[in-house]
Amino acid sequence: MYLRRHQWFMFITLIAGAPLLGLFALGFGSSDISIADLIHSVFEEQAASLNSTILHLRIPRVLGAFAVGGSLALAGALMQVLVRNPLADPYVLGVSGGASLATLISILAGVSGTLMHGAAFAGALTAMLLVFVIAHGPEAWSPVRLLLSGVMLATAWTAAISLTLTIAPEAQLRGMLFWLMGDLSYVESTRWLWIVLGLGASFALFFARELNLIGQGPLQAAALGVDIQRTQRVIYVGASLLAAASVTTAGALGFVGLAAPHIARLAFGADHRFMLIASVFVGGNLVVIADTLARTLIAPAQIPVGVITALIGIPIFLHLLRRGRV
Amino acid sequence: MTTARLNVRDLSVSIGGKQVCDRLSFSVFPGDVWCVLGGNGTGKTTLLHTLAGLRRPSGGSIEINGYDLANLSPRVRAQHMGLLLQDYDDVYSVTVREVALMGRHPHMHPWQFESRGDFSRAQEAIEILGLTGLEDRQLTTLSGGERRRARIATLLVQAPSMYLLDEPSNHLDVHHQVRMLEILAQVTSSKNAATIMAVHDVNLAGRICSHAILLSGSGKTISGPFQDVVTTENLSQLYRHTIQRVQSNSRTLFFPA
Repeated sequence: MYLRRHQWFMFITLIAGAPLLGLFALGFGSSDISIADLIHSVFEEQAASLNSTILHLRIPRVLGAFAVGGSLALAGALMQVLVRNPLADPYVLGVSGGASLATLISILAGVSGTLMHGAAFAGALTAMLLVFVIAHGPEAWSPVRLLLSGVMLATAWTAAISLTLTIAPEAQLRGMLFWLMGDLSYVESTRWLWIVLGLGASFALFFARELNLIGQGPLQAAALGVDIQRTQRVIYVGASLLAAASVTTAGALGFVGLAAPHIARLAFGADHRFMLIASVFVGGNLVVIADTLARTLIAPAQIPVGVITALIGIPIFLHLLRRGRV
Repeated sequence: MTTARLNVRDLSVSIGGKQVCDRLSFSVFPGDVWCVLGGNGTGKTTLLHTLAGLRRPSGGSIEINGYDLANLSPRVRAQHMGLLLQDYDDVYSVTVREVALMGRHPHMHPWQFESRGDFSRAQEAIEILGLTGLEDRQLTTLSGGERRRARIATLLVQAPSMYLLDEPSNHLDVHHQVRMLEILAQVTSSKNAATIMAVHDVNLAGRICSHAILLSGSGKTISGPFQDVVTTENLSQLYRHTIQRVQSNSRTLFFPA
């Protein structure tokens, strides 16, 4: 159940790599800053230089990138256990659909900023509650019932989104499409996202051993003393809130939530006590790297970050898949 | 008088409008091994799951080691009783050692990690079940019988005082069927535990069972000491097929006519 020596080495590298990666990401952009300048401007608040202005723009973006990636990866790992399906991602139950529709409607209505983020979050919560109510029905839910209700509602959201895109004026279409692919350029404050990620990760780790058992089937978990209904609800609410918070921050960024948990599982094994932490860092680091590339590769123009996460993540994933076992 | 491991009073269980048992009462004492016999769909699994606290009975009470089962938290319940399921679906792969260690879950706090002692318990169970050398193999790469034995290892590591087993001999070859029964009999007597198992093979059950419950499928049940309950008349009614018996080396064997 515990990690081998080379796995410990990878685990520590993964975690220690995150702050280093963050520093590098701060240095790169349409205008480069050296690491020395960077440390200088971080510690001397008064230095009202060009560098510190750039940092004020880049720090939230890098912090946001990590938190978005980490939250999506954690949400994906939790959903994969909850619906007992390795193809599940944070959006499988339609949380992003609700958020996306609400956001597109606010863009259409000319609303932006905090109000748009609020609408996205409200949309995500509505989607989450809808699935909960429908899946629960007269009897207790089963993973299949939950999955089917979620997938059906997600399809309904997609239809509504397509309809909105069809009637949206040309001028707003580009912004909408970027948001749908995942875009970190709207990031302002990431404080709430970090709080949700911190709470979500703590709760998830508290239940980590129970998640190991639930992975073996709800009956087996119950026979070994897991309060299955309570744990499933906590996972559902936690995963949905994580997904909602990250969609609100960066749009419907795909792939990370599906692949990061699998990358973590392939590299560190199925024990959730390690795998969940690893997922957060794999997801976080991946999005930090991807976002840095997204805003530098064809600067000053930007590439949607979702495109890059998929382009970097898929080779890593396929490499691990060939080498290991799923 | 010793306290009963399991004390069942006026238990009524039904599923899908079908009565499994109606005001069934029996007590299981330390060292007892009970078998539950019945045709397909008579509710053997449902009865075991009810006794394990996984579903509520429609009436009656179940006491485990003197505690009312309905008042126990899932964790404490799992310290008293362990359940071997009829089938497991392996969606997420885990190793044999991980599966064995899962038995420690009800004995640990949420933040606690397995101790050296836990690892050696797991290793011991793996050796008893003849899985040595397969510790780090993924369960999904093993044969049906090996997987079955890994699940039994979980149960041995859990070390409850009441074992509930749903068709424990599933997937096992003859050697391992007999070996598994020996292990269960040994654990039951040496740890002062008790066992209830649902089985299809009456003769296999006859090797170690002291008592039996027969489920007719209509709510009617017969329970008591094995020799009194497991007779050709009762079995013939139970399986709706004439059952005969032969005597061989002091053992009574039953076979369909």
